[in-house]
Amino acid sequence: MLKLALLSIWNRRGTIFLTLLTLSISVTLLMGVEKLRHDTKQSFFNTVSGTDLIVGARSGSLPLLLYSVFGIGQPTNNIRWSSYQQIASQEAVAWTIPITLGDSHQGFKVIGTENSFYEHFKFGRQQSLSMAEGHFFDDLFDVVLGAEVARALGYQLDDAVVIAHGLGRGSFAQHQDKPFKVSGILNATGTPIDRNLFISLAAWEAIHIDWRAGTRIPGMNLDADAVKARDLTPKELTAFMVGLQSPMATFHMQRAINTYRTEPLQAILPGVALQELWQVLSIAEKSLLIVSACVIFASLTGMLGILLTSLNERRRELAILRAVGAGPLRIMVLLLSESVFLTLLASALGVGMMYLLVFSFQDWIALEYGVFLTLNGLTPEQVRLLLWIQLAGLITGLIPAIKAYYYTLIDGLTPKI
Amino acid sequence: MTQTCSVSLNQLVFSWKKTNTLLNIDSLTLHKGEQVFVQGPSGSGKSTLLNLLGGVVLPHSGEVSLLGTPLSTLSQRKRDRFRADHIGVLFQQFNLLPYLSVCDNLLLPCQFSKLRRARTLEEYGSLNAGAHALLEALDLAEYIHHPRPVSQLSIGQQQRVAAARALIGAPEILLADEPTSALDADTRHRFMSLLLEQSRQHNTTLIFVSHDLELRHPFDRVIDLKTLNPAYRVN
Repeated sequence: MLKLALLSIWNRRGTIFLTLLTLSISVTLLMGVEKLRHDTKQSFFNTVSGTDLIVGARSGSLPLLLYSVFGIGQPTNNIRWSSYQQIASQEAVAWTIPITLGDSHQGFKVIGTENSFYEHFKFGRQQSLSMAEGHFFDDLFDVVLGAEVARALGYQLDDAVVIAHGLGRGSFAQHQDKPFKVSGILNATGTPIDRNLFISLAAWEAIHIDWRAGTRIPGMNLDADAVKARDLTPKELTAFMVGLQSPMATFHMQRAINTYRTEPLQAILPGVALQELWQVLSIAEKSLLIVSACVIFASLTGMLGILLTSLNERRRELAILRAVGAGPLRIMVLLLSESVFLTLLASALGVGMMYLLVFSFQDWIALEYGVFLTLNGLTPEQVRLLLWIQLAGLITGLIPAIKAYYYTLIDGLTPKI
Repeated sequence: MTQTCSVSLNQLVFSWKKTNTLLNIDSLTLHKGEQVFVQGPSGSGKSTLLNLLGGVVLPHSGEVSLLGTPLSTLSQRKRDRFRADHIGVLFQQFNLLPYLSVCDNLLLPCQFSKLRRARTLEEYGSLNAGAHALLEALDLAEYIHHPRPVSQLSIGQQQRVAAARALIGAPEILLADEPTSALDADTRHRFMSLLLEQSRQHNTTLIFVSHDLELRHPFDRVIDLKTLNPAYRVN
């Protein structure tokens, strides 16, 4: 019986192949979208962990999260160094990571920070940063590269790096009088950190010492050695991350910062803010999923069309089977098994194709979009989607199967065609 | 009686709608091994009679008994099994599944009926030997070792393969629905003599429906549906 079904399919391989192709492409699409959604979400929530509060100038929690963690958008205002010092010296505070933003290199953002960044920053499941090569900065003009920066620009240890003033690839103002030297390259983390360069706050101050309001002060030109003699204590910073002695103090600390008298500050809980941001993004994610579900629906409809058309041509075939003793129920099962077989095969092909695509474009997607796709097994959501597809295929197959059932009853041994 | 009686119809009435009786046969008995020619113009209830004899439909009243078994006592599934076991069917044309070889087409009934499979094995030792014997008997020996796609056969050859299929596993009854209508005069006579000879050899009750009266001569009995079925005259 199974052999009959397979031979019958093989006999109609031309049209069946097209059905299989469209169906497996749509399965690939659905699986791919789900994979993208899952892995994006994963790397999204993995960007920062172990940080209790992020503090910046008062704006909104989303902008603060976006510019401090994701490097998207512009900070509205800076924080005074004195405010930072005062909060950092609180008893409840275990560590702080200062962050200064605003400069870039070849389109990658430069972060001014301190060694506490390397020590305390955690991502994913409480993972710490680690060096692939070299060490975190200790000389004034040392720069540390994120994994992707090093790979994309082909930089190695001790290479010279000139930082551009401001953001954007085409920035004209370069700090070429004070070149940096690559002192270390970080291991890949799958977070925006891979796309950043790191210099010390003192270095940040040094390259901006002869600048005011985005341009060089005319006549004032300190060279790299002369600047080392100056006081390089920063006057401002963009934001800072706070680790507390005990998470119990989080809300108390947040309130204290939000009501800070000297200047308007804001403290956010990264987990809560990430969740809020994801809520915004999930609308896009859901509509993408709906679109691919529609594609599945369309190709199942296509399969239905082809099965129904072929059913008319197969009326004779069904009558022959009936004549040699196949009952209507058996003929129904024969037709149903065909669509179930097609759906299964298309699903297997689709999943295979999805993995092939992930395997081939993994690196490119990571480099271009910062989304790290993993070659893991199917997620529970993907398995659930696959089961839904099987069910939809079964239901689709029921229609021609029921029709064949009635054909065999009506035609009996004297087919009309 | 049941030993020799192959088909018996009794007080048979069949209609599509309550008012429109298609078939009304008072009594008809066919003996085992009897070769019967059923003639009748279209609309005289030939297809209905075939469907009733094949157990595909049930009469509204009266009884169809095959080999002593009243079909109305069987469920549809059992009737399907009964047909697979005891009845060979031969259509006008397009009897074969294009995607199966000659031998696979021929052996199709053995897939659906354990009885016919067992009988073939008993008689010939293996299914292939059975298929070969029948192909030889029907002048198709050249296709035994040359399994060409059936679509490459001529219509006459296809009908002979179909006849071999209807005969394999020695079913007691063979229903033939104008199997010669697509054949030319030469092949028709060859086909008829082979069919009659083979069904005689297997002691099969042959019910041969046709409107080609020239073919009726070698048959044991000729039944005219026009006279047998009063419902036709009424309509």
